[in-house]
Amino acid sequence: MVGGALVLLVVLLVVLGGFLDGLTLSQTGAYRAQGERLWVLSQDSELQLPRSRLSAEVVEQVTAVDGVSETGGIAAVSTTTSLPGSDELADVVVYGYELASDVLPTPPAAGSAVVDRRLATLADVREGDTLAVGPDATPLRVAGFVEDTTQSVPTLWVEMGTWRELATVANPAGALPDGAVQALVVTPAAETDPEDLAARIDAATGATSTVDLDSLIDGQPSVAQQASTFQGIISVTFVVTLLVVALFFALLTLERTPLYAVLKALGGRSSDLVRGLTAQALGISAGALVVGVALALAAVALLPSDLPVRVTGGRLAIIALGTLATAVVGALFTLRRILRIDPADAIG
Amino acid sequence: MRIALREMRRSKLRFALLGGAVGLLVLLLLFFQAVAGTLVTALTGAVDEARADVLVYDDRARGNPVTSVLPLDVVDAVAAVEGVEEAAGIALTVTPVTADGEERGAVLIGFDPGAPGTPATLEQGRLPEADDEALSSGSGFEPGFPLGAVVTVGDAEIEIVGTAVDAAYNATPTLYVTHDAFAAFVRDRTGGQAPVTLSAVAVEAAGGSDPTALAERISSEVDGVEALDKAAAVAALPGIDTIDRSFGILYVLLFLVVTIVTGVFFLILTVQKRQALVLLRAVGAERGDVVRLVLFQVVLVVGIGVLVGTGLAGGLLAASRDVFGSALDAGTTIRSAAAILALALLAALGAVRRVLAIDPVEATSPGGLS
Repeated sequence: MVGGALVLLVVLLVVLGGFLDGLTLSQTGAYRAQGERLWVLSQDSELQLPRSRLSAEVVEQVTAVDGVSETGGIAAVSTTTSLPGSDELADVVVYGYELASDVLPTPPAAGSAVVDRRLATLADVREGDTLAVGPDATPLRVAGFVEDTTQSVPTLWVEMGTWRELATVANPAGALPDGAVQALVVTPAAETDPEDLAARIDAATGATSTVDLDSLIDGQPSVAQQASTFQGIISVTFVVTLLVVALFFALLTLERTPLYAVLKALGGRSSDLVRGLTAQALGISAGALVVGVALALAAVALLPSDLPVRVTGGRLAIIALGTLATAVVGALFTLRRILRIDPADAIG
Repeated sequence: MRIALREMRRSKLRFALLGGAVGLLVLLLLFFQAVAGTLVTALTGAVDEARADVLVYDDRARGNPVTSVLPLDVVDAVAAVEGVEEAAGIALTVTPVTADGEERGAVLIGFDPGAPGTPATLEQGRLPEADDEALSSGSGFEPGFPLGAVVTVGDAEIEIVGTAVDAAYNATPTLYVTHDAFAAFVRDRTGGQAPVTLSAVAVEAAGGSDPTALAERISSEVDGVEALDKAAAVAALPGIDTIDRSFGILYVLLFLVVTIVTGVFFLILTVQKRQALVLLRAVGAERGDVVRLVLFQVVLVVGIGVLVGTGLAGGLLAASRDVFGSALDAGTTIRSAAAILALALLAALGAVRRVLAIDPVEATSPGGLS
């Protein structure tokens, strides 16, 4: 019965962790697709891509900084696309880009797009299909797929000229002047310290904020807020787990007091009892972990695919260690009672 | 009831642990509900608090003002539909602004002051009357700009002449300016390259017109648009459905945990004190007396847990007001507390069944009370 309650708490922890990681990963896929390059955004953008604008002059200044190996413009616009063979529309973010990376191929030809695999899971989209994108249903041919580039919604990746034409129609108020981009990704030259290069870029322009990928992600307000909220909630859930284990071991200890008294009368030491209790706590919590994780994974698999839940190995490891530790601590709440058991209680 | 209270006093640790567990779970539940409520309000305020019965978008926008692009002349086409009292355009964009030397992100909304689309929650000051004036609104997550502040938007300086409550878009500080001010900003930003367009048309229905029917009529009579009544427009905003479903799953899990923990605890307790219960029945206690003893303890422990959890949630939300801007809603709190109590009583049925199965004659059988 203790195990049953623990199983449910493990399921809750895994689902909470899944939401935390799912939200973070699904909102940062497009940033992570650029690899470990530096990101240059306008100083007043607070690292938010839609608010950032770099003029053609600033782009030239950045490119000219000593230590910059290559730069590539990035710009994004939110819009919708029709799905092949359907009247349905899907929300997408269209990215214009210039540099290939480990995730992204060389920008496709004008009028084509490299598509986030997530769109293919939402609808039957295949290479060679034509998507009708934006308010004017601009045709874009699917040139290929990329993995894990979601930015809350699926992304489409196009060359900058195509992007500018699309953005003028999809977001006229946010259109960029010729030569301007929303951000630059910068590849540092060999043996250049990225932190030092970032400072030199900002000093050269006087109008930019240059950061690495981790700082960019951490600087997104939604990511930071979600992380702190969910981590706080997960911590409280661990405390609940501790209390539940403590509660049930308190009940069990009460019932076994006569048995413990007999064991002590036969020569058993308190340390033996504590070791036994710890082993039971570990055994129950390990069993609850196995069943709970299996149930949670099954439940997550049944959830709609558009819900941002992703279970990662690292998170499962943290939950497992946390559950085992809190179970042991909870079980030892009754340590005082066990230590006070008088072997003479076994008589009469 | 005296017996129940004496038992609880003798076993303080056990009942305190259960109460503590329930309290923390209630804390989680109420905290989630408060934050979810504030988040939804922050995301939907600009639409929900707009003076409008119907919102009209580009028919490829999926009800999202950010992805909706409408030509200016669509306002007249919408206004000509039977049942429309008044129609006015809304234009929307995001931009960094500077106020008090500090750079912040903001949503800029071009609107017709006083016409449909105007926030209905004016709190201080007045609506803008000139192109260098703005109405400001914030959310629980980020405040708007104060009355009298001067905000630099692009090359223009704009004075805040009024503030509205909960009328921000997408949890971002929002500035409502005249259409001319909005158009001037867009021209400056895009170097004059971009056409002036709208994001939506806000419609006030004529007296007696059903907004849902009016929305359908507008969608069918005006080319290239999708009209939604206000409730549908709010529900269609990006993220709302995901938030509702995600938090719904977490609520269900939390209610389940409370139910099972409470049920299992009282079942174990009932098994452990079976002999005492047999004796009670043997000396004349009725079934109902013993059942009431169990249920009294359930109500007391869970009730105290709910009170403690509510207090903790209120304190936590007050301490984090700068972050979340959330507070407990009395109605939601009472409903959740009642649900937890009801589920706890339901979970105690297992223990009650065992109690009802006790036969007092067991006290007379050999070894019956051993």
